[in-house]
Amino acid sequence: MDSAALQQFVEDQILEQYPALYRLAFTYVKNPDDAMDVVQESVYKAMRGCAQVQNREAVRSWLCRIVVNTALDLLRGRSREVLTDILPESGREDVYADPDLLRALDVLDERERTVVVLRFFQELKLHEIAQVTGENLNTVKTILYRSLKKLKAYLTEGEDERERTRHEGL
Amino acid sequence: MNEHDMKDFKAAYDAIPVPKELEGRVRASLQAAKQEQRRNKARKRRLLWQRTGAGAAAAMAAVVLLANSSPVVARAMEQVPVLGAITRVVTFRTFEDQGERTQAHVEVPQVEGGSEALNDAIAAYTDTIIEQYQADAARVEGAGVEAESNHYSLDLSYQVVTDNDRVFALRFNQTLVMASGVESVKIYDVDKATGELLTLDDLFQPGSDYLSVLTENIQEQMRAQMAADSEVYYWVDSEHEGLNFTRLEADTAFYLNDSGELVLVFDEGEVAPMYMGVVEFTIPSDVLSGLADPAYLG
Repeated sequence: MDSAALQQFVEDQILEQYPALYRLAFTYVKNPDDAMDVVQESVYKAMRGCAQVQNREAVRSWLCRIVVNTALDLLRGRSREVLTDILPESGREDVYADPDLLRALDVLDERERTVVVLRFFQELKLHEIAQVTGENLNTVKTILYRSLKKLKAYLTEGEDERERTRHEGL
Repeated sequence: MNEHDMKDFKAAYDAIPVPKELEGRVRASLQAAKQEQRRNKARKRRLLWQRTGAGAAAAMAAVVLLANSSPVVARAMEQVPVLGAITRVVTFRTFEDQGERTQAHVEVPQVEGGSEALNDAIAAYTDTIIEQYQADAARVEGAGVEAESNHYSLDLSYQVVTDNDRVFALRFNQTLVMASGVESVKIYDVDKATGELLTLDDLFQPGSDYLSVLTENIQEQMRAQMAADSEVYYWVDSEHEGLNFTRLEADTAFYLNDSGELVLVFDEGEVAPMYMGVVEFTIPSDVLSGLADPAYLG
């Protein structure tokens, strides 16, 4: 495929998928402004680097990878300033439409969350997730299995228990 | 999972609201990336033209004709003496446009006494930007666009950033605004003795590995700035190696500051997240001792 056609394809994919990419970014940075920054920057990187994509099938997972990496970069850039004694503001309560449910994702570590979000929310196939995270297929399967178990354990804990852990600032 | 199955999760995820302004920002980003690409292509084309020689003069004539005949083009001819007796920079023409939802202000300078190659390069650069604006403006004003991004504005201004005994550098600052702004920079450096356009390579002794030295110094500066200020972030030690700044490109924009030090300029998004804007690094002269060509540096 010639590069102009590929670029056009990438552009079309971006215009179609930016809401999904935004939600993906949001699960990492957890606020609209940073999520928009991440998407905007990812789009720029994708357009400048689209020669790297081998085929059309890989475009979606490749876009996800750029967003995940950009979001992690932003968090790492921020983490040094957040490591102070400041607790997350109470405004955080409102950021998720169904806070209880999505907050459950916080029991997962970064790798686990990435796999779960890509599999169930972005509906990527396992081998595509492997492309995004740079792990092999078996590792992805293991992480997914482990993550689901963790989530299940968290969600079947008593409501009171969950309330308490939340107030302890989990 | 009993209590909530994955469908509920997905529904909660899909319910994360997407801000309206995001579309405009995505489109601005697409635009900025494409513009950057076009500039790189134009640069290659210009090199070809310079080699064929005659073409350059023809392009120049076309620009002059446009300036005199088009009613859209207002001639400002504001004279700014900068180079004393040798030469000066004048605003050759100003491109102004004000649409319902679009607006542009582009200053096209001409370097009097500058070489044809320089003025041709400037004209080609500004023409490309104006053409792109006109195409985008037609699209934004056109009925077919359902974009939330209902505003489009372009500003291109120039500034003389170096003017010493030997080197003259003209810098263009471009700001493109759709929902949020994207800034980029283009600098033309000229050898005043020969009138030739200067590249980074020209400032150093032949065969010296100046790119490695500059790269290392910039990386050090990035790390030091990040350590000193938590608001500052560069792609330098990111775990995602693909993003890291590992090698300075020989065509990076540069100028010389008042102390004669080399200053390297990176576009928004090039070596740091876009919130960092256009970033500049001043290379201390002692870092380049033994490498630099004394005619230009130090």
